[in-house]
Amino acid sequence: MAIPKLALIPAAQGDKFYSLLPSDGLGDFTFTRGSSATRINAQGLIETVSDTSSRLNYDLLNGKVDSCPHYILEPSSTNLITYSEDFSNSIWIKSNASITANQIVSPDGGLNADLLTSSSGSSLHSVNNNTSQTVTVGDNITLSVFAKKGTYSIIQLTSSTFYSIYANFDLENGVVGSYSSTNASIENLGNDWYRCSFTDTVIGTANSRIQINIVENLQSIRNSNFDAVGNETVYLWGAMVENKTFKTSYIPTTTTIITRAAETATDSGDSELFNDSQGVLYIESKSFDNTIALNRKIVLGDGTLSNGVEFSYQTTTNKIQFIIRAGGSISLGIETTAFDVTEFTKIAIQYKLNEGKVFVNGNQIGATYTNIVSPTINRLDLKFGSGFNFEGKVKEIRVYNEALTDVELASLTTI
Amino acid sequence: MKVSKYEFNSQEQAEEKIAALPHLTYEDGNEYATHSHTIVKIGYIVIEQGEYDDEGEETKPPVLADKYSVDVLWNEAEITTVDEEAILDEDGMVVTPEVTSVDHPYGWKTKALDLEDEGVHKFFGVTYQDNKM
Repeated sequence: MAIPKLALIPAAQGDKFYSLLPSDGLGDFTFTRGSSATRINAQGLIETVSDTSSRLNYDLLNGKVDSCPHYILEPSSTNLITYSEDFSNSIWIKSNASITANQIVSPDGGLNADLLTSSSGSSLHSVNNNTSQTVTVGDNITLSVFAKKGTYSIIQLTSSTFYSIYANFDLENGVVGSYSSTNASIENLGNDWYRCSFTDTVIGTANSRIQINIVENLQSIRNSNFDAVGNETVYLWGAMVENKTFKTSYIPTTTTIITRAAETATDSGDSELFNDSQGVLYIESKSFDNTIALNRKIVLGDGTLSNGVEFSYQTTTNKIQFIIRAGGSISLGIETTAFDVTEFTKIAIQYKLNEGKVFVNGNQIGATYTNIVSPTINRLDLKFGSGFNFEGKVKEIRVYNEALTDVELASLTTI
Repeated sequence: MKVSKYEFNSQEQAEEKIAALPHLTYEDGNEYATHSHTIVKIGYIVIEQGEYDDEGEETKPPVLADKYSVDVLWNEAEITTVDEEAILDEDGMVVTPEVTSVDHPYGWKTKALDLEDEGVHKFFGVTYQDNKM
């Protein structure tokens, strides 16, 4: 098979998204983010990177670090509670429970995870963050907390001001119990740590409060009493409330709420590097959510809205769109909802005079288009024009300057 | 990057100023921001805490400020204007460098605050005091 002219394989972080090919740096993407952010490093630990650094992020699969990292491009988000790691602070109201600070190593590798211990008797046993940051009724909201079993393993995540929404989590077996919210998830971070989260819509009086309860079982209803012996314990770290339909990377807070800025990667290559008469754009990526608020695009084009070989996650659930556009006219337009966009997919868009086609995960999607007009191509952007910035995780991008055979396209995109 | 904190008379007034920042109208008819500033709608800040019972249920709502707060992490390049062009000699060498200035977009300056602390919100790793306009 041909050698790609551009190959982005995440291997280093810094002020660029670094491309392996070409080796002279022409294929590197300009990276921007106006603030610090956190990532999961190769040891599986959460660490902070500065505002000048892109993020080489590692997923954890069943508690083990995926050896193949990805670049991550997240939207702006704000952790709407203060003292996100210090449950002993008075902002956290303890109800029939106590907190002992800094008992074990947390997911950031520091000795700073706190121990929640129930008192004895039949009552609600909880810690409740009392940050009075207003949120808008009707907005989507995602609550999350890192938790680890102690002598006990069933917790409930809820909010005292979003009435009725809650989710139960089993820290022994890593499963979600009953929940009233739109969705709930538990992510295994290894060493018995889990990130528990759920998403719902803000109702009722709207403050950014998050509450963690020790409850009897996975079917416990919200804020139910639990007849505790008094020695039931779980470990907690890193709570977060954000105005999002999905959880984003952890944002630590102390005295104030804190915002992580959005990030972009743009302007790789030039007209000499790319061939605008034929080629293949190959991408392995995934979206943060099945349904997103705005289309998110990767475009091999000229930086305008008029020319490009375009790949995008669309606002319709699980919709992926492929477009070849030249001089403002679309000569290939294919959409599919057949894939879960929150899983990594491999896609290839082939463009060539009078022949355009798309492969996803080893199979051709849609028809072969025979009226393709080649677009002007002099740059590769993880955005479309001045907006529609790509948001997601990117494991690989390649650009070939020649058409490939169907067998090669199928092989290239096979998971 | 520059950090500024603003107070508007209402949420509507804040939304109006935010909508006036650079944007495009796409083929679907919707308008999308094309700037890269980070805008955080803090909202009506709580000035008196609410009261809550043992189960955390609100028994008395908090008292909110009558101004709507917005924090912005401005992309400095996008709010910089050239006041005087650079003057070059015959060989293209700079005789007098370009003069630029950074300022709030139109209509924002009068709403800007000048706090002596970080306020109720920060941008991750970027302090207001070190970066305020």
